[in-house]
Amino acid sequence: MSESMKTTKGLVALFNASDDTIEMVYRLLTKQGDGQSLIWCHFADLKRGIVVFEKYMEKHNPELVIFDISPPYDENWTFFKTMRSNKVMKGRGTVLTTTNKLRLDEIIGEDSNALEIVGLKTDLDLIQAAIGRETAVAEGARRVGQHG
Amino acid sequence: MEFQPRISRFPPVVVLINANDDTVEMVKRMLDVKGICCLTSCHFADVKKGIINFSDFLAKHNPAVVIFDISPPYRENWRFFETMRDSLEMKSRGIVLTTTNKKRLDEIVGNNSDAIEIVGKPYDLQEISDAIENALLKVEASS
Repeated sequence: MSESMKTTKGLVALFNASDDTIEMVYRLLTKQGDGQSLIWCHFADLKRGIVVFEKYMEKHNPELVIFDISPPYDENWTFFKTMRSNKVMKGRGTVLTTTNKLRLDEIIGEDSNALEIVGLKTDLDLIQAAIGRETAVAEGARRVGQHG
Repeated sequence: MEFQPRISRFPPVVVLINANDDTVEMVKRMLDVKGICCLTSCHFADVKKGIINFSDFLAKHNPAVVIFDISPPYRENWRFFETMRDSLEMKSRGIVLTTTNKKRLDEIVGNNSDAIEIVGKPYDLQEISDAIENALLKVEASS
């Protein structure tokens, strides 16, 4: 069985620092989502090892992961890259958010492709579109896994 | 004029109201080096939800300076910050304001927030340190 077949359909994991943002995304998925459910944990808890990333992913098997990069941007970007390249991320969609894309890109020296989130409805629309897009990609990967 | 902590049983106390554990840790470390006591911190969302009573929190810790961080949703959290700032318990205390995106915050709240942008670089921390020292000097001068 391929890794991509193991993900739980419609399950979104959110790694964020802000309870307000977690609540915003939760409301978004509840009211306007496509039947997704949300699990979350604090980014800082992953960094400190309070939550073990691999075990968390294996236990919940989310289809999609939303990572939020908060300050310190350089340090958290490095940690995000470590998580993104972990084998447990195989076959899962990824959405990246931050509160200041311009400064994040400046600091890391590349285009992060992150969505800037400051709490406006337009930000949430962008996140919803990204979730839809990444979910479709994960779904496609699962079908290939089933038939391939 | 540089702020010089007095030799006292009671060092100058600041409290942090923030959403981000990493930022709290960064600011606390910086304050330790400066000899400024960061007695405690609490999550902005916990104050908003009433899990922590803001008036009781201030009365208990009696900080000279309160550092508020405005995180998204900027409009909503700015309004709540204004409510806290204007409360009687904040009278004669200094305020330092931080955020991760000052440009967007100012656009959304429609004025200059006077917030310090913090992205985790040493120059942000220096700016916050200077602002805290200035706030402590003002509080000391007015007391």
